[in-house]
Amino acid sequence: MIDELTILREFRAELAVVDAAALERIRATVQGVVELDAVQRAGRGDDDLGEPVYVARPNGHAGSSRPRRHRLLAVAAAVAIVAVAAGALAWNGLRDETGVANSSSAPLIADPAPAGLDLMGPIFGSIESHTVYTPGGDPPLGEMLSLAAMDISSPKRTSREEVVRRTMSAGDFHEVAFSVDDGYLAATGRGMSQDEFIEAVTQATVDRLGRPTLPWSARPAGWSEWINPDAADSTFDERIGVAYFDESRYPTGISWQQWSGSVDDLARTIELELPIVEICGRGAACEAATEGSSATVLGRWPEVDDEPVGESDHLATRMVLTWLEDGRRITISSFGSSLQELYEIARSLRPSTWEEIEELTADPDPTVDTTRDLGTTETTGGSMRSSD
Amino acid sequence: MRRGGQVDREQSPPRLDLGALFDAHAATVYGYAARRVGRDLAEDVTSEVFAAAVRSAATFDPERGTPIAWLMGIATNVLARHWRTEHRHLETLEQVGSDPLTTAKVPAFDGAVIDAVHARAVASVLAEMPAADRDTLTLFAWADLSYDEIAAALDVPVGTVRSRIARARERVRDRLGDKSWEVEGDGHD
Repeated sequence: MIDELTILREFRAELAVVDAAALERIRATVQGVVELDAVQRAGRGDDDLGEPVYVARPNGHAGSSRPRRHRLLAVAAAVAIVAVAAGALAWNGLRDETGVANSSSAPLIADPAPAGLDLMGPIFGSIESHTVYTPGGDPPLGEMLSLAAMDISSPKRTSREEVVRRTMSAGDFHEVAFSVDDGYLAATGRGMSQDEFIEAVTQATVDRLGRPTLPWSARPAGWSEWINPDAADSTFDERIGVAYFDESRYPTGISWQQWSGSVDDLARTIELELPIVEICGRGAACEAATEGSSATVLGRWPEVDDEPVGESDHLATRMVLTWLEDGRRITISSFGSSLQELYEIARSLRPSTWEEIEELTADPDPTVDTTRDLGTTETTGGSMRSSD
Repeated sequence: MRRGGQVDREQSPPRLDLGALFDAHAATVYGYAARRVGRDLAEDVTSEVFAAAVRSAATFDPERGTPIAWLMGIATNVLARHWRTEHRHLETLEQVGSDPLTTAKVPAFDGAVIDAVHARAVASVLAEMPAADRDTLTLFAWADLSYDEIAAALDVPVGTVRSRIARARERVRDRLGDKSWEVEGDGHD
């Protein structure tokens, strides 16, 4: 008789085998965080850097960030960017999962092919953002799967409300509604698994365009993490985002977490850290989310396209850049600009932005004890570096 | 299991040798996370755990638990945010009989007594188990933590850990003993 503990201990035991390469990647990521912290602390002229933190390097020697202070200062901007890209912010990252389906058994009900379909090939060849999401919640949305992909360089984009509308009007179970217009592909389905859905949409694109067009290889593994179960039947205005960018895994893509609630809720739920600081592009959702929050909205992002101000229905087009600032995670976002443009803007704004951030966040609420979230409850009082 | 992470009590606040901490426990944290959410996501989780540890090193109190317990407490909180993913994988295994986390990615574990029916049963019970029980059980069975360490990691009394593990093991045992699983399973997946 095999006891249950033996079975439990063997369950997925093969996954626990040490992966040296993975550990080195993790070490590099953590090291990046340590070094960036040191850069930021030095950058604000803090002579008392406190005890340096050490993360052993692969050669076995511990490396202190302090001796490298000046050199790191000289490349602070680059480090900030690289550290973000290298995985300091690898939260729920997109991954290179192969998701291409080779066959389709799901019946399709497709909208008539829109005009200009021939243009979709090159357009979707440059997709910079796509998402798979399931609103969840009660039927009929509960079993809905929806995919939206868009080319953010397209001057015209379909709003997310339109995607929701199309989703709501989708047929019965085991259907996929499929439409392509304005640099935007939207597909919805119900009553099927994610894989079935992707298979069906892939087949639909083959049927329409003669080839699969969506970059399924970059489909997010963590798609379900984006679901806001509490806002199943809400508009997207109720959602706010904390975004990250992971260049190492998805060179041209962005992702974001969307939840209802306040920015502080997001910070506690997602970031593990003290309140985030976010520069919002626009949108009532951002305003509402930060109202009364200890997070600081640093400013409104310049309008970069011709969409009316005040709409918050283009979250899918938001480009973001996030970095660490004194233990905090800073996110800036932009609508309609390319990531490269965002980088350039961030770089150009960085000196003053950094100063502003420092000024605005110099006195975090000392009563906020996030250590419980970190599993360090009742240790030594919850001092965090940012409040040192 | 290696247990390390030197604490210099002469410093104030206590200073962790994070290099030693990483060397000693990264594999354990990674392995544990991998069994829960898969190897890919486990990299992120482990990075998050140690990044959080770096930033919160001053909050570590060696009198309240070992470094690995502290890290696993962080890991538990980080993994909680990935429950949807974890649950989806467990459900897939339960319903389809194929584990998305292991299929064609890693070699099978030689000498294992667990079979597909067992795996489906375990996935089923883990998927429906209360989070507190699941965390406790997996820290015990997969991370090899002691009762005391689990108590420190989860910030609960040791007695609670004991009762949770007993309850969780009973659920697994009952499910494994449920012959309907063997009928339901196709036996060759």
